[in-house]
Amino acid sequence: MTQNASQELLRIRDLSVTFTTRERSVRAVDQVSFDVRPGEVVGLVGESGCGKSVTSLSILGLHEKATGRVAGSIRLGERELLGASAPELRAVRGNRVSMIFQDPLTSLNPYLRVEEQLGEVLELHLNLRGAAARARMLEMLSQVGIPGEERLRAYPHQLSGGMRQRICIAMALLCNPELLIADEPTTMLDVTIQAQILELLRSLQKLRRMSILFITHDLGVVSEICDRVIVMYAGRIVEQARTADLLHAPLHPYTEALLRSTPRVDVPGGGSLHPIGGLPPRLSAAKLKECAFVPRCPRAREGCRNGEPELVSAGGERLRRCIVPVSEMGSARS
Amino acid sequence: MTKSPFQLAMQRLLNNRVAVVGAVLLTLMVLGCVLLPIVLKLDPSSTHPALRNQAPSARFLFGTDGLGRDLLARVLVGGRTSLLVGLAATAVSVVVGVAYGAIAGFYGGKVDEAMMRLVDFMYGLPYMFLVILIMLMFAETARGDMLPVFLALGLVQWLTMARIVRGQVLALRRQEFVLAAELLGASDARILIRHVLPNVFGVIMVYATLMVPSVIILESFLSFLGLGVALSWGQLVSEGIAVINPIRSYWWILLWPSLFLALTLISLNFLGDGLRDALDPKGRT
Amino acid sequence: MIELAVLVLGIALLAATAWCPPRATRVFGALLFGLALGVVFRFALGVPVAVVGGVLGAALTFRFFPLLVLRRVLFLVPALVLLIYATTLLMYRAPGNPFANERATTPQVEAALRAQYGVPKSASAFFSIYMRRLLVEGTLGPSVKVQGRTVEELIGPAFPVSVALGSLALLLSVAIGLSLGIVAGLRRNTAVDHLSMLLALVGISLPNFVLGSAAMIVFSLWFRWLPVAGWGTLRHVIMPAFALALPNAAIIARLARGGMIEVLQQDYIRTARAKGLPESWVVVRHALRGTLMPVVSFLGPAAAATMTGSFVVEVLFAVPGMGQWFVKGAINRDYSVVLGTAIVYFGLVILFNLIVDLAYAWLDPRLRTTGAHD
Repeated sequence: MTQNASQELLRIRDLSVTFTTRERSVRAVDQVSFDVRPGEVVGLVGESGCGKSVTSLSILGLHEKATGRVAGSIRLGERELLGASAPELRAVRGNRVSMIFQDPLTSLNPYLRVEEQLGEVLELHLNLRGAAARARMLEMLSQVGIPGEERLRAYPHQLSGGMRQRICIAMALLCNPELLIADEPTTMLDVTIQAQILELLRSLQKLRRMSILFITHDLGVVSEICDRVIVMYAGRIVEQARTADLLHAPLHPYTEALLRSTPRVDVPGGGSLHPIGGLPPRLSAAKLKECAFVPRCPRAREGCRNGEPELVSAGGERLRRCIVPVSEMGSARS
Repeated sequence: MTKSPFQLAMQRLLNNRVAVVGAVLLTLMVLGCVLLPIVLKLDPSSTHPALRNQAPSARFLFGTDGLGRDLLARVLVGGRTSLLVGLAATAVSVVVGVAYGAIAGFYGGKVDEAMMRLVDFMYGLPYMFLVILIMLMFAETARGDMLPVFLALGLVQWLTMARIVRGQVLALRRQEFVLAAELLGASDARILIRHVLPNVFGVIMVYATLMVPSVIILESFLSFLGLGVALSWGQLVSEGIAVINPIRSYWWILLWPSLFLALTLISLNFLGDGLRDALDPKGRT
Repeated sequence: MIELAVLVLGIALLAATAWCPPRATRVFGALLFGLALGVVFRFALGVPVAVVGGVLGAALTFRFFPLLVLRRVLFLVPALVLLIYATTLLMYRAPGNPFANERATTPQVEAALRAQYGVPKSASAFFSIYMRRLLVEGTLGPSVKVQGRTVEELIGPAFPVSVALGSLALLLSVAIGLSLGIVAGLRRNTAVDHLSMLLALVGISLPNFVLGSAAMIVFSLWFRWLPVAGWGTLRHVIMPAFALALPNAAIIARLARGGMIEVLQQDYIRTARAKGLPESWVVVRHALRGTLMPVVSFLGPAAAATMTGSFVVEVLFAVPGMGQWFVKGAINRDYSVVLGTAIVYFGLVILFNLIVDLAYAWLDPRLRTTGAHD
């Protein structure tokens, strides 16, 4: 393997996830490809149901096995994760790649103490038990900002929401993973705690030079923490760019609409709200006859209905899936 | 054209083969026990001393017992009792349980808390004891009088129904159509009876169907112990067991009532489970 | 009529314990627990041990028991007293009395007998005599029908038999039910699952005496592996215990399966897998606790059901347990025997319910509020 080939930490190519029930087939993720480099924070953005969570779950093979089928390639370094055996996958989970989820209350086992839940990871991956394990747990807890012996003996319901999420983060980072997948970790927290958790993640990321795949629907959060952003809609990538570029000059109508719909505090009176009209499409497994965003797109035109646009480069690392010429796209701040 | 929730549930039920089998079996059982003795002019109590302990034959399809009585007649007529008790006692449970649960769920707050605490605490207590006592004590005077049996057995089961109904009513209480009725000035009773309860009906049916087999089993316990009021399957099974011996087994005396009892109970449970799945496929209740 | 009013009042008071504030609940609950403990100790171990045991019990429960459990004690101990009262009323309302069936008794003879045995004409009077005998003298009273014996002497030997049978049956129910249910839940919608649940459905639908008699025929008469009936060796225990256990096992299997399926859909199971835990760890360390909850909460009613079923099973397999004393006592209108067996049975079930509550609180840390600082 040449040096170039292993530049990326995570390499996803043509990932497709299809869920089949008795009634119908739904393609939740369609031919998604992207990379995450070491030490990079990549944001995965979109509405609920756009496929971002399913994408992230597929990386560790945590999606619904009974009804879901995954195709494509997910490489971590040189190792192919898709189709890897169960033991191989388990060696990666919690170890090289960790994941934290949206609701810290339900993500933690209510019947077990914190030290038991943290201890499992250490015992499993690092063979640490007893005093050595405790020392490491305490160290980790202070790194996430909640030092103290008594935290270890606590049960999840005895802690506040912010503290629980910190525990989840601590649990995820115990084995020094190269990649942290964060699935909307701040959505269920209130705003002040949100800021703290983001700050925590940022500092930890810098400290450990860890990569983060940050899934969210909140562009505000994206601007805080992500180096690069991938926008998903209807199971496909519609735009990809460095954060600053995306927020300043979006090149896809959906991204524009997302930016426009973010409530603003700097406009007197708050400004009016611009929701994106309509609903996301129902995703069948069939090929699309037109661009998925057409029904809701303010810039839709004739050509948009002639089949789905390709994802094309727009200079540098930028990608966009839209036939509207770049020159016509206005700046975000209108 | 979209189907109403009731129609959807019906469809799911009919697709459930096990439940349909249960329903058919149950219907056959009820019809058999009620109609056949009349049609075939069967007599459960007349004895034929010369024909005691006969194996099944053309004349006596199920054989005869120790006193030469026609077992087919006894099983069918006994079935009437068991089924009737099951139905009536369940009806008592339903009435008491629904009333209790509806009131608790409707008024909520402290009333609900107190009422449900009572239920929670009473849940683990053995009522059967009191039922047995009642039956024992009143056995002589109660011969032929079924009402105390219905009441006693019914009072054993109402707790579950009360809990379920209370849960449902509590949830429905907050819904808009109830608030609308209140605004229009409807009285509490009217709201409860005309608006809330019809929506709980389905759940009540499910649990009532599942309650009948428990009551039938309890009644069979009683008649097995000799405390029954009229001829029923439990009594017949105890008669069957009494004649088991290693030398000569009169297997038919035990088999037929056991079989009928088992089939009835199984079909009721199949049907009840099917109703529950049809009403609520995700199993939320 | 007054007696009925007292009964209703009693029930109302019981319901009112729901409103008792935490502090008071803790105090009174502990006191009642100590009292009950003392009375029980009195039977077996004499007065001094009873007093010490009672006080110690009260103190320990005050300090350590969860509030939920003390609430239940606060309800159940008076409930037991009320049950004794209700049973007494029932017996007195029924036709006949202990002295009626003897050879012709004159009113004077009857009055003398009544005085001797402490069975007055009024239910309430009997109740107070009985309670005084129970609490102060520590005895369940003389049997009216069996000359010269107290109730304790009569049911004493039968007690361990019933307890042994019942406990074994419950243990079997849990063991069989849990195993079946967990496996079915883990292998959802496979042949194993469908088969197990079918078996469970059949198990629920068959009364224990039908199962028992079938077993009797198959295992005793055809194969001659086990004795038909009776008690005394391990082989005598097997069939009655299984007959008693299977219906409950079936219910537990369904509960465990449902619990397992529900738990496996929880987020924290996903987290456990995301940590790389092998499936065995996920099931045993994480899923099992949640699966046990519905099973544990069923154990209270399961104990009551086992008790109910034991009457029939004891008769069927001629097991010399307490059931026969209860039935005999009721038929003969031997009030003390009936009450004695009733108290023992109720007491056992109540005790079991308390243990189950404690287990529930132990399993789910969210329910624990221990200590005196509620």
